[in-house]
Amino acid sequence: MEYLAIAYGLIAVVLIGYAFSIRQRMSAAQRERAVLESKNQ
Amino acid sequence: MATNHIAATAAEPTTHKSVGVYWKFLDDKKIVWIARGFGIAALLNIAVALYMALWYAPTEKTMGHAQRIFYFHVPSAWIAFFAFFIVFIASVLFLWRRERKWDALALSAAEIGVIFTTLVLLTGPMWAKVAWGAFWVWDARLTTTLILWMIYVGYLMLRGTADTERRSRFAAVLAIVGFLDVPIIYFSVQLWRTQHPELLVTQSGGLTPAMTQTLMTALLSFTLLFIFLLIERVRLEQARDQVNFLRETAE
Repeated sequence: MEYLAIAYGLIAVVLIGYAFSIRQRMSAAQRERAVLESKNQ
Repeated sequence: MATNHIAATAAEPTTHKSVGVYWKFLDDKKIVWIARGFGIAALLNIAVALYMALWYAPTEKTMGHAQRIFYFHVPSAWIAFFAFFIVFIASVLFLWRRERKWDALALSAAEIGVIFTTLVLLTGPMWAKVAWGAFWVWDARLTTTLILWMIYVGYLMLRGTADTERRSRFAAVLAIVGFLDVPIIYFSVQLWRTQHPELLVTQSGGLTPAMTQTLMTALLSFTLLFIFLLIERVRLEQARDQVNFLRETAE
């Protein structure tokens, strides 16, 4: 049972972590785009 | 110049909006909401698959509860193979057409493929410890899967170097050659003597109807999740291209 819990736990950590990483990188890109757009105007 | 291969079509006036948005539909608000719909559907489906894996599917006699790892281990492998197939096709199209959109799709699918291969390599040893008494054995399927993971991690590292078209071409060649490992993994259980179970989804594989239904539900949930992640990852690549273009024009 403990190996099942570890396996499912690892799946959750990796997938949530990756989804969060995409979100963070997207926010960073959008922030930088907004800054550069205002500089370029 | 770094942006040469980023410019999608020469006919359009070059602004950061035309440079980065090679798949305009992905920035359409409707598509953004559809992508989120995929994400929500994936979450709900994962909850159902989890319920089925833990309570609906019967407990396997020899391995007990640890066998339930299989319901997410196998779909992870299938989705990883599917992701690398997309990388392969997109890389071929990139080498042929030299359009940035195929390069971006290949990179996005490769990253997700590595994530799902990581899941395979993390959950497999948990299953193996109970089935074989060891977390890892240098079995043909395990070893070729590890090689696949290393190839595409190498691909991502290569993508992390300077942003040039030459890097994209090298990466595309690596992705195409690397994909040769996928059929090797698939047929490894037939080509070599191996401890890894063979085709588990056949009638002779010993799955009850409840087990097969659980496996298919988990596969559907990971497929929905894959679609969601791929759309979001390509959108991220588009946003980054716009930022790179703005940076260069600001200099």
